[in-house]
Amino acid sequence: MSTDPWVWIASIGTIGVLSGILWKDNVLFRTVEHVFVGLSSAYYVFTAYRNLVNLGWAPLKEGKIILVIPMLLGLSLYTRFTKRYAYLSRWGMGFLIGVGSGLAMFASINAQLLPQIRANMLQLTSLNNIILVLGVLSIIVYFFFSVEQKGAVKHVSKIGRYMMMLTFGVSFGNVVQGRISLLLGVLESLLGKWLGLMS
Amino acid sequence: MTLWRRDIPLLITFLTGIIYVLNNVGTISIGSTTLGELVQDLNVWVLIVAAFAMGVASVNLLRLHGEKVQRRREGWGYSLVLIATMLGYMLIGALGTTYQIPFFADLTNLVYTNVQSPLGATMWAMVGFFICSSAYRAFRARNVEGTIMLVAGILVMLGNAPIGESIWGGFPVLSKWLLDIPNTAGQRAIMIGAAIGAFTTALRTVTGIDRRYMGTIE
Repeated sequence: MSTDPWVWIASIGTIGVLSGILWKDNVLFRTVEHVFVGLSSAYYVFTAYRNLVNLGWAPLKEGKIILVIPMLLGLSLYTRFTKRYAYLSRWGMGFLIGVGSGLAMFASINAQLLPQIRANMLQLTSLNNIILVLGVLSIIVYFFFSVEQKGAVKHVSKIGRYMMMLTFGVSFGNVVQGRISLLLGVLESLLGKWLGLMS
Repeated sequence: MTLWRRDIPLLITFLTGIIYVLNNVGTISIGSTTLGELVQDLNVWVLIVAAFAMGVASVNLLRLHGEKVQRRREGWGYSLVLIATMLGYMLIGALGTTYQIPFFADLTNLVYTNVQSPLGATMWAMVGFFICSSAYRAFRARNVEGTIMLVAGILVMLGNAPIGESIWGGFPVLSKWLLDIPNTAGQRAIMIGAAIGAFTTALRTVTGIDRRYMGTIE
């Protein structure tokens, strides 16, 4: 059994999280849950603070006056906590949303839509290619609500639905296995590092 | 007042959005500055504003839990733990990294490695239990769709786990085919749909048709 107090802290925390699932909602689980939220928030706030100092405050002190603009936009977000000036928070938010939208407009077309369409332009010379082309088309037909889903459209969209279910099943299998391997790592740490039952 | 409350935020969104779009169209210059250089500056601005936004989120969290402690609402003790952990870790982090005090720098790393990291991993692993329990409800072979999902999920798991190969050598092959062909078709179609959706939403936002981000503040 480990004599390192940090290993004990890690193990008790891990057991606390697992206890919420394996047993029921309990004091240890809720305490550990709140500790985790507190630590994670502090970590992200601190990372943000460092970004602010390194990218904003330090260059501003060196004379890069233009950085006053993002600083003011950032500060405008805090007006949300006042009733009278809350509308000013829209300025900072508008900036963040504008950048996000501008990036998304190009990225969605250039990095997602066109490459996927291009990759699906396959010659129908093998069964796999036929499944790929018809699979994609049938799912798109399923989401095409401008035409009433009856007759041939209904049949094609039904195939699309089956294809999607297959995709979801495959994704589910992968996700579950990923999480199980994570759990195995946690159990390995408990049984090995803490209790010394594994070499 | 409409100018301050509505028009200026709309203009900010439009201008920043359009700068990013035009930057990808070609090399455009405004005076001696190219749009590419402007975008590089804006990328730094975003990090600065996002850092302030993170501060807003933490103030909100502290307000919410602080109020709970102040009014002694149910579970206020847990809120106190959250506030203490958050402020304590922030203080340790500041003393360790900003003021470079070795003891606090080590403590920050130790807390991250032995508390935050294992708790995060266990939380993620725990989600596996929830997925399994919800899958039990959703995957019951009550109809064709449910059966397809169930069979595909089981085949992939059997194909990836060593036990599957010991049962039948064909499981890994079948699992790989499911991943490479039908799964690719499904993911591709979903990505095409999502890309069209993302583009439409972004276009609506930049042009000011979609203003939901402005909330209901009047």
